[in-house]
Amino acid sequence: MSNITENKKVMSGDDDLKYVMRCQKGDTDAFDVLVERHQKKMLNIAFRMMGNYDEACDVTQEAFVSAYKSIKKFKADARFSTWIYRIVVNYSKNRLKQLNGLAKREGVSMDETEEKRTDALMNGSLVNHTNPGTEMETREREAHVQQCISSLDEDYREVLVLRDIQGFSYEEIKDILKIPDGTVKSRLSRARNALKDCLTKVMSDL
Amino acid sequence: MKKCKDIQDILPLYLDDSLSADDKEIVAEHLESCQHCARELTRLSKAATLINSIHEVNPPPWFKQKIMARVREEAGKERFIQKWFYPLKIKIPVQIFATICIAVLAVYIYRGGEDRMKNVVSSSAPAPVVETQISPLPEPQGNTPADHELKMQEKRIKTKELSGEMTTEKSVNRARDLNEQMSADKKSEQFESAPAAKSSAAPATDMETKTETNVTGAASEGSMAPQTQSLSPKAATEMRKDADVTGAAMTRDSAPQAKSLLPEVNISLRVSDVDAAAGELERTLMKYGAQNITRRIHQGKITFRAGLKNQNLDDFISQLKMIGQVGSGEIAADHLKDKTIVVIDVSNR
Repeated sequence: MSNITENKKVMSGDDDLKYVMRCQKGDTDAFDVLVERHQKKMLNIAFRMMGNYDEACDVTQEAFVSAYKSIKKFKADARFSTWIYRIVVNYSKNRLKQLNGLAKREGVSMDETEEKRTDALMNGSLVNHTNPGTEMETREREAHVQQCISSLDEDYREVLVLRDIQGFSYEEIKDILKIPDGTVKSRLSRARNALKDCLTKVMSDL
Repeated sequence: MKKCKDIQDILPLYLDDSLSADDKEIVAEHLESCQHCARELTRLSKAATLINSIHEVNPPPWFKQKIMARVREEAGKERFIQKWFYPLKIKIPVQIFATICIAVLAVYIYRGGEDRMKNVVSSSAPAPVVETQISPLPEPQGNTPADHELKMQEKRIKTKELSGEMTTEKSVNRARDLNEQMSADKKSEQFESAPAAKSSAAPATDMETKTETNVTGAASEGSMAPQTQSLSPKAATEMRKDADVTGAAMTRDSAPQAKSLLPEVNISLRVSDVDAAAGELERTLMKYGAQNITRRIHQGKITFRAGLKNQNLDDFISQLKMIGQVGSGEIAADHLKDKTIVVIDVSNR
């Protein structure tokens, strides 16, 4: 797992800082570069947190706009990527709370709607598969995984998404979530156990 | 030795190789002896493989462009706010000050406009005094048969005074009849021009004296001073009445100067260039809202005549001093009247 995680580590270097400084001086075009660099990762964090592609797009967009608005507050002692990922994680959590509240009032299960939307997404925008049978299996499997991720508590979910899906180091997760190292590890441990239990239930071959 | 539950709590981290060396050793030992925990480790490993194998989603088309459009929109708003309000410490007081200035200016302009409106209204509708003065203008200017007869009568008085009192008395009686007729006419005129009549009282008195002097002069010319002096008091009164008639006639003679019923101020202005000064003077008159401006050129001298409000008179004269040398004259306005007629003679130094 650690090897895969390490492979997934894609961190923008200090290059960001140059563009951030230009943005701070009012150069909007410099933000274009930052959006280009981070949009995919931002969207995937939001998507795995939310389990809903459309909502994830909205949240990502809001997070970028919010980041631009407060870019003058950004200080060079932190990494821009860490800062902007924290924004998207927080936006995702807030939006989830809103949606949960809405679902409770309307009496609709969020899980059901998420499931439908995730299935729809899997039919559409996933990576190409040559074999239709394999593609089908992959879609199904990924839908189960997402279902199980979505079933986790938000605190566990965010750690799992950042570590096992996005491949951030413990140090980075600690910075993004602003929680101690020990908390990151304990939450991750519980999240993985919960995910395993969930997958055991939904997938017979685990 | 730790229980299975304790081992399973840290088992996910064992998989991640993120346990301390001691914990790692303990877990490894436990896994060798506990098949249940080993099975859990296998499940964890499979779950990790699954979660690591899930694909990333791609952003929708034009995602970056949409984000940037929103960002630019926000930047525009921010720039607008920054442009107008930041730094707050400087721009807010400046804006407040500017607003106050505009408000004061607006009030000032509004009030100024009111004054101008008054001027416009007054110039378009002339004062009733001027109108009533115009009406007697077409009246005969001393050439009416009555006047002619009056003059003739005067002559007769002068000549007949020499031949005795009785003749004088007769002629005076005739003159009195005429006088009564004239004063009836005059009264009707005065009725028409009541305001004008008031101011005409003073000049009329002057005329009276002058006429008296003339009469006396005429009498003395004929070396008949004692006779004139010996005229009875009645005759003297009659003479005065006669003189009144003459005065009335003279007042009528001076009908073109009816406007002078308003107090007049004569100013002589000596300048180096008469034409240029005249132009400037005209502008100054206009500026002070002068009415009925007339301009007459006579022997290289330009005479302006205009009605000016008393309140503007002092300022106007001070302006005149800037144009040229103002001759010393009586330039005190009659404060009983609103207006004063200013007569300015512009001539070369």
